[in-house]
Amino acid sequence: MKKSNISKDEIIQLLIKSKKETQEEIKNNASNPIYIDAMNKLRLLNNF
Amino acid sequence: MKHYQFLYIGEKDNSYIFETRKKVFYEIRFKNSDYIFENLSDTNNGLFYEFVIDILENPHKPFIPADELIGPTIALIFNDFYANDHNLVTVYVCDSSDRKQDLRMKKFNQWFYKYQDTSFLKVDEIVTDNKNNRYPISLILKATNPNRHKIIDTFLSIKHLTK
Repeated sequence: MKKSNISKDEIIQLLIKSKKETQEEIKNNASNPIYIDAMNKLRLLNNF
Repeated sequence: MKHYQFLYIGEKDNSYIFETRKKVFYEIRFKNSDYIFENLSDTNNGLFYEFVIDILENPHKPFIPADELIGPTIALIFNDFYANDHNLVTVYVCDSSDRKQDLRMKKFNQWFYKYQDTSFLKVDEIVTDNKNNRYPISLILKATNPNRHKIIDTFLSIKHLTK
């Protein structure tokens, strides 16, 4: 195993930062045309 | 196994979406996370992904309706993603911003052990930061991954890194 140059706290902070960024992106995706199109396809397929 | 239909959108983070009968849309992502592990592992670069589950649209806000088909749908999405490459490695970190990380991990574990097929291995770990905040983290990989011992050792070593 290669010796780590990164600390545990740095790994945790990277993981949390990544998670927050992704959550923010997902919130914005509801208005993304690609997602709107896919959501409409699913609505038609499911017809709940 | 009953489940919801899902669509693969792709985009930059390998996104999947599905709709529940209560009209809640979920997004599942497999986000490349090599940068997190690049200093920890000298094998399998390009194969580490962070698993993310989040809600795209929820007409019942702030409530999230319980639904027994979410678990099996996520299990099938996992299978679909790993069908591309059995050597992929996924890390799941529970959202801890509202201090409900343990509940989320419990739910994820329930889904995983009830619906995921036995070709997968899951290793759970809890790491703490310098403020003693707890972060449950899971590593998921195929049991046939030829580098599984090294990957699991590397994952478990995070806990023993200096703060």
